[in-house]
Amino acid sequence: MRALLMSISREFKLIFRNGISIFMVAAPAILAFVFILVFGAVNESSLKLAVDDSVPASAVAKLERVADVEHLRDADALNLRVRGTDAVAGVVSESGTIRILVEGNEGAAFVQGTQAIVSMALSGTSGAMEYQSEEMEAKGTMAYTVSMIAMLLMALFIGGATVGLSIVDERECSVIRAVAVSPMRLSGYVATKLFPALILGLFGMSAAALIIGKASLLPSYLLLALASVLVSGMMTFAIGAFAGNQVAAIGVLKLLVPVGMILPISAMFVPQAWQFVYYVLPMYWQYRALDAILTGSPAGWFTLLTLLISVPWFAATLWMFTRKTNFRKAR
Amino acid sequence: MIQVNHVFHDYEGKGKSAVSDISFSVEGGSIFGFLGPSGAGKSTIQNIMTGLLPIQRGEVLYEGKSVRGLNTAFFNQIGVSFEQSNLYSSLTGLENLKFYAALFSVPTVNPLELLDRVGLREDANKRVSNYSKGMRQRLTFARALINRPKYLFLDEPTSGLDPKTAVGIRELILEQKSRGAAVFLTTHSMELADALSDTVAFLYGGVIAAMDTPEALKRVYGRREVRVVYREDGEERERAIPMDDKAALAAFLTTADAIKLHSQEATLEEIFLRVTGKELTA
Repeated sequence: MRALLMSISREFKLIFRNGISIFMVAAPAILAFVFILVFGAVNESSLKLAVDDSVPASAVAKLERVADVEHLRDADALNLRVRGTDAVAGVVSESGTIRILVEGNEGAAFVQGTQAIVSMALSGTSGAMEYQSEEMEAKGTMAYTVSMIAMLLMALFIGGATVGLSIVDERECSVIRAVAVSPMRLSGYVATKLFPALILGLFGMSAAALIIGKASLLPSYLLLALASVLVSGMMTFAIGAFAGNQVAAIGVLKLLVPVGMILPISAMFVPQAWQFVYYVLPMYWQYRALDAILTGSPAGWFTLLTLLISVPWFAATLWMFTRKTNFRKAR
Repeated sequence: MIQVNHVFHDYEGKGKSAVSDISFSVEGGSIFGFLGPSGAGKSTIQNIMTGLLPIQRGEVLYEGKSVRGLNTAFFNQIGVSFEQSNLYSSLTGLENLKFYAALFSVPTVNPLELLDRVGLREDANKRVSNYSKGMRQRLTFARALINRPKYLFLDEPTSGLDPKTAVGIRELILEQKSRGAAVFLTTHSMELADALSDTVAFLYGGVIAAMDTPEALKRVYGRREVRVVYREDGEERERAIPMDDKAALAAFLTTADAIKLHSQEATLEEIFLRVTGKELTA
């Protein structure tokens, strides 16, 4: 156990003392920020409005029934707030006329929806009406879905790839040979690689999910990340097996990124009748699970299949790794 | 005791053995010098002995047990110092040793104590990426001693070290021998092998060309004569006298103005040249 803990601790030291690895670990979070900048905030199920002092208190009270209302001191503060990265509409009153201010990049659905809700709320006919802002957002578009799944698949991929680069480093400086003549078994070595890959996967998934405002779906994401541990391991040991140095590792990554991310997403564009071709790929089941989680469908079966289908793939990759590196080949 | 019996290894499986019919034994408390040029098969044998390569033919026994069936307990008893220093360059010297020590389930040596012995105490908290080649070599050597190994494999342990440091490393190797370790020393340095080894084997072209104690090899391959440098008529001259002709030697020394006497025993380098017909180069 001491060996295992020391090895895991060493693994994280190696990762966080390497600039490329740090960037890779942070990549899902960075992409999530980019994601919300491009698609707007989707983290709230309620409408967000900002009002200044020009709006009468009675009108503000009506708006508060249907939206989260932020109170700002003047028009300048309100303008600044509307220009923020998330989707907030400003409401001002000019000579008794209500005006709605939007940043301009939210899309027609958001603008029209906001106008309709504000209008109904202020006219007093809406009462405590229920609504789902998702329907007015860009969430349902293909671009949104593809980007969201790609980002989350990447969060899962990054953990394995980062630890894979650490194996490449061990191979490049031959330190793997020193480990091979120590009492550490192959199973122990594998555990010291899988655990950090899992932690990084969980971290990436959590960061991405929280930043894009999907906190409520976090348990499902984390369960999928857990079930994807052998997919990450597959990436880890594939990189370790086929790349003897960092330059070769970049080449291997160029091959694995399409396999790990683009290939499963391509299933989205393939007719249902041909989907069976993807069934042997654990990454396809990752994609199906993510898609199900995003649409609110049950994802348990897809999550389980991700784990089950990845077992033979992981075993084959590990076998290849031991052949390529001579790690404990004699035993 | 380590016993290597009739070991062969063919990397490509095409009938061309990298090493053929290699047999020797290394007793506890002794140093076995394995000498040969690059490509002779030294690393192949060491890799087979340490379990990095599978045995294809022959047998390697540790205290009578085959290396094929050895488990984790065996790896608690070996220490390997590789020729190429293989360390985690983003970790410090101390972190490297601490990590490696944690892999063993037997008592280990205090890493700082070891670093002190190899002259790296002050650089313990420096990252290995900032170490010089010699410092890395010393750290690799220190790592091999972390578990007080019963079987110690050293591959060119003094390569690239300055003479003072090399002497310190030699002393440490002799200490391992004194505490009962079986030391397998792979080197192309005849001088190092001569100074440390109880037995030496010359490996050439994948086969052992000669094997014995350094003294015995010198006796067999050396010339049993004494070279006397003496002064005559104001000039220095030399004369070789057979050692067996004691009367002639005594008579000459009595009459001549002798300056220097040299026994003409062969060096290991000369013996290697005579046995293999090739010079020993790295």
